[in-house]
Amino acid sequence: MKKFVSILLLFTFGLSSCEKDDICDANTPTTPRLVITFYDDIDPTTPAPVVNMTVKGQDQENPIIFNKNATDDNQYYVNASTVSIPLRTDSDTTTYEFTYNASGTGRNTDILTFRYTRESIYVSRACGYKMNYILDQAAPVVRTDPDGVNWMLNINVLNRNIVSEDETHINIVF
Amino acid sequence: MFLGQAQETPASKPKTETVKPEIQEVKKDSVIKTDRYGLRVGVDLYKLTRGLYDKDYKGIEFVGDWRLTKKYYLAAELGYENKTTDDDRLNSSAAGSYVKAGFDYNFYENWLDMENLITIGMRGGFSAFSQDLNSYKIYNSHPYWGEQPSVLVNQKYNGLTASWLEVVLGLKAEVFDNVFVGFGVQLKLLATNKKPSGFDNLYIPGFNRTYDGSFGVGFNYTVSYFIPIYKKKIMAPEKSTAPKKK
Repeated sequence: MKKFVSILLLFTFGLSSCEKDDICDANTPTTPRLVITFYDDIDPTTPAPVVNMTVKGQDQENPIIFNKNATDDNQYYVNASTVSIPLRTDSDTTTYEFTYNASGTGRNTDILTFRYTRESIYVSRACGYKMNYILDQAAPVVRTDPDGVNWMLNINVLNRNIVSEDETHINIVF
Repeated sequence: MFLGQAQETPASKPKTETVKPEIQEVKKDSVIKTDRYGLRVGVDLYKLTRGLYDKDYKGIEFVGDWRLTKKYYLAAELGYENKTTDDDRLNSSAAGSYVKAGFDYNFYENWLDMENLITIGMRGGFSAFSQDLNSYKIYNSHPYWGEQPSVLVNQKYNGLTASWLEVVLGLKAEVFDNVFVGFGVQLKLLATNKKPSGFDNLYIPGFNRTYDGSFGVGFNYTVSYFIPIYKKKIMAPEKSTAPKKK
């Protein structure tokens, strides 16, 4: 009888100790970023890396950090052909300032406003909800230019539905 | 000689003693033991008292069993729960009633006229409930624009149901005349689960918290009263007088 009771108690304590499975797995697809692929005007079929580009959200203090390991301004520079940027989850528009060659004298800034509708989708107990976006059909990207010279030549929406980071949503030719 | 005699006399005594038990056994066989049959009803004290210290919980569970045979009992539970689950990223409430029915098998050999139980049993459970999604957070692994506060929604999902199977280990001890205290643990396996579209059943009344798989757990701490209805006379088997094996 006593043996049985102790086993019973052990069993219940054992169960209560494995309660915490509430951590959202990093591999779970959650809110996707907007994926932009850049192409050089000379060869518009092969993705081409940008040069020391920074991407700063409007009214944000600092640009997006692309190199966590770098120091000073170097952590903001991106030299890749594909760039992923987060869209606002609390607004139907997100505005970014894209600065090409931000470190040099030939810097050039183009401002893009992404317009979209948002959809909250249940993921799991641990992750909560994620946000998916659908870029506006009529005017998905609105460009303004503060310095009079556009460094982006062409902006193409490839995929209006932003549900995954595994695909490119927008192509930019420079 | 004295010693020899002293040894002889004890030797002769056991002889008479070995005869005596035979007579006793015959007597015991003729002793008639009675098993009481009836209805035991009670309440889960854990659920009842939890509402006093946990503002996110209200619940009650009535338990009952009916003795079918010497070792088998029909058993059922009937309850209501209203629980708010506050996870890191979700806050939801589930409210509803449930019923569980099945049997218990008592594998405890009682001494004499004791009526304690150590049981293993099975139940089928069914719950009808509703869920309220109170608030949620958007999971964003790149919070460049800052972590968005919880979104309040107060979305209600009605007409939800779930059914499950339970294996129940239980213990009931008679502490006063006809008054039993009991403790039980349940391992549950979800069979059907009608989820709301675009959300999940995070808590099912009677089943408790849901996990990624279909398993669940539960326990209760009951106090119950036995209402004797009739008695069955049985011949006390010899085995019951034998010392309990460890």
